[in-house]
Amino acid sequence: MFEQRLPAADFELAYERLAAALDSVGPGRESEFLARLALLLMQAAPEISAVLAAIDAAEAALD
Amino acid sequence: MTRPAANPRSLYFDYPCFDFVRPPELDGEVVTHEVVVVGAGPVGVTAALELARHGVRVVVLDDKASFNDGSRAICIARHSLEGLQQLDVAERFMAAGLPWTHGTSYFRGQPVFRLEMPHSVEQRFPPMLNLQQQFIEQFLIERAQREALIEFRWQSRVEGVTPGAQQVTLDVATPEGAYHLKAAYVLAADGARSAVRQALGLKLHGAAHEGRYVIVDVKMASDHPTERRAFFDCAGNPGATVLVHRQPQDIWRIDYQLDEHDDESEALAEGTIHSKVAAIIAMLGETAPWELEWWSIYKAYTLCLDDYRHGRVLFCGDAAHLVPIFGVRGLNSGFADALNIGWKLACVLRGEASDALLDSYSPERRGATLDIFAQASKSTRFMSPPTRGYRLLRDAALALSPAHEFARRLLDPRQSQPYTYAGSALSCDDDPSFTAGPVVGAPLPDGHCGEQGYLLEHLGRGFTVLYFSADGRAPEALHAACAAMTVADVPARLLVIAMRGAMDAQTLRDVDGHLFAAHGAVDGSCYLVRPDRHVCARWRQWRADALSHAYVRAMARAEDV
Ligand SMILES: Cc1cc2nc3c(=O)[nH]c(=O)nc-3n(C[C@H](O)[C@H](O)[C@H](O)COP(=O)(O)OP(=O)(O)OC[C@H]3O[C@@H](n4cnc5c(N)ncnc54)[C@H](O)[C@@H]3O)c2cc1C
Repeated sequence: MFEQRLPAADFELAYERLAAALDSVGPGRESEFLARLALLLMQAAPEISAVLAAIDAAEAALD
Repeated sequence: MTRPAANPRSLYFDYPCFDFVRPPELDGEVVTHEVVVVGAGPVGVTAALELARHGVRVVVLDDKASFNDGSRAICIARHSLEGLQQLDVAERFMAAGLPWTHGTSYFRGQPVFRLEMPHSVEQRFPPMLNLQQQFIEQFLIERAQREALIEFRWQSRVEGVTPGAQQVTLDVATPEGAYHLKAAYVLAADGARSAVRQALGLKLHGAAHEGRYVIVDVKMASDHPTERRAFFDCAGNPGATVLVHRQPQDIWRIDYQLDEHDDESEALAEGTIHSKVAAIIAMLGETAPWELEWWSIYKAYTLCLDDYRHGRVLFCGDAAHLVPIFGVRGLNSGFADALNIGWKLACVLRGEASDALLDSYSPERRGATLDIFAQASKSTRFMSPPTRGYRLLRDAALALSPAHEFARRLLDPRQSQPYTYAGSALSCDDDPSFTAGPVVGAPLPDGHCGEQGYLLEHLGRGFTVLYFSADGRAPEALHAACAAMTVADVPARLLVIAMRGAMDAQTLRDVDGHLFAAHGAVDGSCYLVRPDRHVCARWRQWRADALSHAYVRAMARAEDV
């Protein structure tokens, strides 16, 4: 469970922006783009525990 | 298979045929009617009922001889029922409809989100009621037929509109010839393809959304409770979305998304529909026999007029705006249009307000439409992601939602909510000393009053002044102020919410103080509520001068503007 940090409206704005960015990079480069984005967001995370928990949660959701 | 409206066949609904009655205009009589409503759909008839409630005589024209057929609106929101109760139809809706409070979303066969809509003992009506539009129209029309002030003219098609400074002239085609019909005001409630809109050369503006849905009604006995079920990437429609709703009379509404490459005519062939529906019903685990009732194709639009008022012609319902079905807002917002314009027209026709009052209609109701567009566009992009990027994120949110609250919020279908007329020219500035209660512009919420029923049942026909009193007494000056605040000659109703003292028709007892608390009220607090239930002013401590000022403002009277 992740604490909601971004206000809901900002989160929705980011969601829309990310969808548009995924479309503009195109299917061939999505993984590359998402990996770079993940590194940048890792750097913006307040602490290591949040990053590790996010990695675990994303893995778990693939099952 | 869109059946001819004149002779619709249905497995469960008998469509009446309304006769054409020769109107006096065909024999040369010239009358200027107060209001002509074009379109006897649910919005037009609601507007006619609201006008009649305020004593206005109305002629309602419709080109058909029966109700609209097929599967359209099925979900009526609480805020609509709260408005409709003043028209004396909500009881019938409740008796025939199926109330519901929750929903479930599934992703690849797994439940991932539970929708819970707030509901408490304070509310008379459920958050949502499922009832087919045929019944909605039937109940509204039967109610209107009992109303002496409403005259229906069936099989009467409007083909031309000539606006004038004092009146509007409509060209009406009938089985016995054409005639001109004159009205001081025309309400255009003639639906998505509005002939009135076209005759005035007006266009809807906005966007078309990706994704096409086949909408099917199926007759099938099942014990599954009434809820909203949404299936994303499911066995019944791999890679796409399915929505399932229960309706009265053992009718189930199944909406399934088409693949972008599906050919429309092939998708609408009876054999294709049959095998698609069979796969979905198998996925639902239903085993009872079923029959197809009706089907059609649907695409989402967010389109509206730039202005809902054009001189003496006012647009409402689908004639003014088209919104996506996800979130069930189309008819629900049409009902609010009808209730908004009804009292305003009555005040103008009775000379209590100038024509300027009608100028508030478009900003208020178009504002509501734009708010709906923002909500509905998001839910539509979630239901039918328009691009691969949206699709990836939507599926990620669905996969994360069982474990993560933030992702669940994205799955909320953002069902129809009432709109707050916050910046309306008719509203006063809010009193900042309130810390609770409906803000200025918001609709008054319901509240349970023990043996006295529910708060909203007690509202007046015109304005209502809600006065909160510890001992049940209200200042004399308040009685006098109410007498002067009329709508169609009906004075404002003074409703005292009392902690102590006697109960009577004008006094509701709030024994445990919950109505005081819900309104952030103290002894002496006061709300001014419009005939359409929206709060237009409130004061923590009532002041006589402020109340009359608020009424003047709510009527858009010149001294305030
Ligand atoms: C598949 C589908 C599902 C929907 N589900 C929901 C839902 O669950 N909840 C919800 O709130 N909304 C829903 N809606 C939207 C809802 O059906 C419409 O918003 C609603 O019908 C609008 O009512 P109306 O009275 O404005 O127009 P209409 O119902 O279209 O009525 C217009 C009337 O005008 C008449 N007319 C047309 N032209 C003329 C003319 N030239 N002269 C005289 N009369 C004329 C027509 O015969 C008709 O009776 C849905 C719509 C669709 C298509």
